[in-house]
Amino acid sequence: MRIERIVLFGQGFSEGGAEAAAELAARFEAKLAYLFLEDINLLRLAELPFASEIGIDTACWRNFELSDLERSLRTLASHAEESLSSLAQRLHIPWSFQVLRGIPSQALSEAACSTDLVLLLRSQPRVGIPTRAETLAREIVSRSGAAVLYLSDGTPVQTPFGVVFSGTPSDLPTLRLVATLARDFPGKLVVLSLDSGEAVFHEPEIQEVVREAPSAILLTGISPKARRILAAAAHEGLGLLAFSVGDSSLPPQEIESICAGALCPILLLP
Amino acid sequence: MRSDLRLDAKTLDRRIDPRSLPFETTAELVEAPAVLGQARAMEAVRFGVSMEQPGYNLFVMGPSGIGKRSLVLRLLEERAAGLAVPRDWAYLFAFENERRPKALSFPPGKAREFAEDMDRFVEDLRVGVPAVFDSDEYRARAQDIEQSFHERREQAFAELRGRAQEDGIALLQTPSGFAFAPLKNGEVLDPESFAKLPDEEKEKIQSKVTSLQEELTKVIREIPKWRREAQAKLRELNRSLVRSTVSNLLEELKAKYAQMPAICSHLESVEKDALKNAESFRLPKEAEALPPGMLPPGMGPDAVDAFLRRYRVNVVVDQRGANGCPVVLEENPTFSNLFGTVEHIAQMGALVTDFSLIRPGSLHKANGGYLAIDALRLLSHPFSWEGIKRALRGRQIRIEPLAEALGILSTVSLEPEPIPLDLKVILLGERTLYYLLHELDPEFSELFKVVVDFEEEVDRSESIVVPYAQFLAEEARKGKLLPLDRGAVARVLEEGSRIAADAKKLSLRGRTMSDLLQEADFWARDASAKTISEAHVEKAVAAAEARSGRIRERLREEVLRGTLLVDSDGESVGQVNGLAVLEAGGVRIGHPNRITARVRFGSGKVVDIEREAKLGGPIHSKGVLILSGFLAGRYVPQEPLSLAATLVFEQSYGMVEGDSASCAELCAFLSALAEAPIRQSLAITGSINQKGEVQAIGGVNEKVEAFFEVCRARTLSGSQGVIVPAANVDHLVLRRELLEKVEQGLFHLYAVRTVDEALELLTGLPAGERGPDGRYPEESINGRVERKLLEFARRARTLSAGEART
Repeated sequence: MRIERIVLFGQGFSEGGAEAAAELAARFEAKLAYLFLEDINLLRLAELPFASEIGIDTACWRNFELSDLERSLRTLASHAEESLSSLAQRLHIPWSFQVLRGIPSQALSEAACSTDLVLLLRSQPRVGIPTRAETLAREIVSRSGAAVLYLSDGTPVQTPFGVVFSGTPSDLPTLRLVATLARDFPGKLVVLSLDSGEAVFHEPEIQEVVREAPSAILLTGISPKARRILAAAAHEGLGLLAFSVGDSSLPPQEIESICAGALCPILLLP
Repeated sequence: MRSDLRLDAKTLDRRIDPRSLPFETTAELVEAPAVLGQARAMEAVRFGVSMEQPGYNLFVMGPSGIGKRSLVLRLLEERAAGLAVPRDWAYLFAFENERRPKALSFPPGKAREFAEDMDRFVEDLRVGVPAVFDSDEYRARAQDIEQSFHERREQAFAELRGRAQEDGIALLQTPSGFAFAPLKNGEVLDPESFAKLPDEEKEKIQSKVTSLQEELTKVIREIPKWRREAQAKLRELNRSLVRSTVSNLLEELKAKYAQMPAICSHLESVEKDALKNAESFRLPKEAEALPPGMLPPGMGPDAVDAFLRRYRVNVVVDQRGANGCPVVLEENPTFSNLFGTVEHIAQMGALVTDFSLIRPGSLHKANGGYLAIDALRLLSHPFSWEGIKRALRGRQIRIEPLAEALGILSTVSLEPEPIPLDLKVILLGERTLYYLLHELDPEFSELFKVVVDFEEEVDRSESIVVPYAQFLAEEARKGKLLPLDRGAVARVLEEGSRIAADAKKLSLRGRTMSDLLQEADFWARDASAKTISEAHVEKAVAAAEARSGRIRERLREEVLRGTLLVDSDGESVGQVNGLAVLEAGGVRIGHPNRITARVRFGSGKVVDIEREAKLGGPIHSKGVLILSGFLAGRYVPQEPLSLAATLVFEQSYGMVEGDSASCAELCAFLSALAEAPIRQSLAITGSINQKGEVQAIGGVNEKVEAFFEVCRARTLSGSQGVIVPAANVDHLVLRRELLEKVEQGLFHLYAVRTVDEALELLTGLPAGERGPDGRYPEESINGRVERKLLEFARRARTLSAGEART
């Protein structure tokens, strides 16, 4: 399996997230690209005549000036770039740093088009209009077709690898990719087959894909509910859970709930 | 020559017949020796240690090497064995004021037990409490508290965000806070669009934003309160978990020490403190990242362990296994060694301490018993003497680190609670020290009321021989030496008298005797002997003398070469061989000195050249003045002394002190007046009084032997000898070689009582006594002297009359 470019998206630098992304990049010998996003909403707000902000700890009011905001964003970007530089040097990986300006979901989706994998962190500091990270993750996959790895700080990607299989056409590439990952790492493959995918799973083509993994188990009869899927994943002690969002039988809310509640990293695929 | 004054060899023989000793070797003497000749000292010790009133501490005095320390310690240990074991002491953390650690006493041996119990308690806490904090139950409850705080905050923000959204306003996160902005199609309204809005709309939006900002301000101001509430809940959760663990562990201890209220009270304090500081049982995350040595004070690599130190027990006095009360000898009585100290450890460049770093001193260890200290060492160490007096006066041990008292160390320290003091201090020192302290320190006599005065000698009698031999046997056993045969014992006894410089005494200087035995043992082993014999002792004595004999031999060599003028034959007027003794490095060295006198007509002045040259000490000058008194009293009492005389120690370039040459000086003086030559084959020592009586002097053996050595090195003619005061005869314990020559008639010793006897021996002329006519016989010494003085007196009268006529 070949990953050329991993994108780490950020509005503020997260040491743990950057570390995880850099380790993945080192593992796949991929380039690590950091996209620092300046939310245009904030810049617009700063130009409004009544713009003021309230301190998060002090509750003090102060004017919200454009020049101050730009300086703050430059400082954040500069800090992120320096940290990434030292991390990349340590792990000997190629890297790039880019500042984007725009509406987060649009800007990231555009930037992620030519990317194999986008990393999103649960607890990454964000500025601008609050957007649920889970929603953002799902939107990036839907709009750009790039894969999104959604994880917590300090949670490594490790085996066994799980994949949600519902029998839709988009599930086959997802299953293939995760089986390849299980072979490369190597590790066990756990297929969580939803009610709708149970019959299709036994088709020869799919069985052939599954055989690529060193070992595999199939869990069947799982209802397409976030709670059920998460319980099965926790029971198996999964180190990664992957599923396709393209034509998934899972509704968007359930996908976002899985992202929000999972103890392990989530890999969202188109 | 008056043979009646000559001492025969038998009189001088101090030997003990080995056959009179009731054993073959000292190996047979297994009985422990009694204390020799120290009845007064032993009685004083017994009184001193039994006297319970304050101030009855002991000063044991006597010269060093006499064995006073070992004897006193032996007595104290014998007595201590029958006395009650004193209580243990420990320092504990004082919860009410941690700078003042609490001192707690325990029944003997119990302090260590309590310390071990508390160590176990601490270990249980160290393992048990973090385990509780690591439990799923705790994590879940703690997360629940944390979650409810976050939810409360998020809910407040969500409600506010919802209200804002209803009005088309978004809550944005800025790099350092929050802000509200109007929305259009899910995005913030750009400034141009906002500018195009009607004024009414703009005002409406601004008003809504202002209102929302005020609400947000309220919410943010509430957050710290919510956080405090969450922290309080977390604290209470921690406390409840710690309480159950601590209480369970302490219940057992409380039951065990129920009979000891002070300990129970301390355990209560421990429980309260543990609950109060429940958070301290958890390792702070930030401490984990700090490198060693950079941890803040009080926080070790294991912060929990550092915190739990406060529950441990610092036992400063542990009497476990003790039999009787303690007897402590403090060899190095520094202030810290005596009173204890508070140590510090360096953390982040600062010196920190706690109660566990309190170290006891010898006063703590000896409390309830006896503490022996060398007085000179005690006085040599700064503040130790003052400290001892303060402790004895106040009857308590207060630990005050010296560096802090002097302001050298400026750091936070402790003031440990004082411990009551009840002990006897036994100072050991020289007599001079006792007398000086008595004179110069008024408190000394108040605090050291018992003086233990050790004898240096014991009477040499038949009854002492066996006990003394037992003492030698014990010394040999202690030093793992070969046993002494009876010949060796007899020789050592003889040497004992020699060291005492008295034929009727035996030295009690244990160290000197022990040295002699060890050296004799060396020579015995060198000769592969099974026992130490007389010859080995003799060899040891001779070898010791030879080792220290460089000065003695050099002086003799200079005499023999004629550099130092001392004759040992012939006769000379106004010239006599005096004998001096000097002491260097603990060795007494005798040597002969020529003393000369010159007289002429004069004004009655006897000039002591040593005094004039400021080389004569006061006692020597006194001797010369006595000599003048003697002259004035004995001769021509009706006439003024009309002579001028000079006296000198020839070739003496240092200080001359003492009056032991005054008899020799008088003899030289009278020889000059009488013009009677003095035999140079004789030397004389002795002091003189105004009546012409010869008095005892010191160092008689060394003086006699020094002249003997010179004569022997030349040739023993049979006419040579030494005149000594009769009062010194008992002090003569001479070397065997000299005794042999006396026995052979090659060397002589004469004992004189008066200067007349001495003069008769020195000049061979009768001294002469006043006849019924009041005159001395013409040709006697005294007659010649008086005739000369009368002649001087007449000349003086004639001169005086001539002067009067003119």
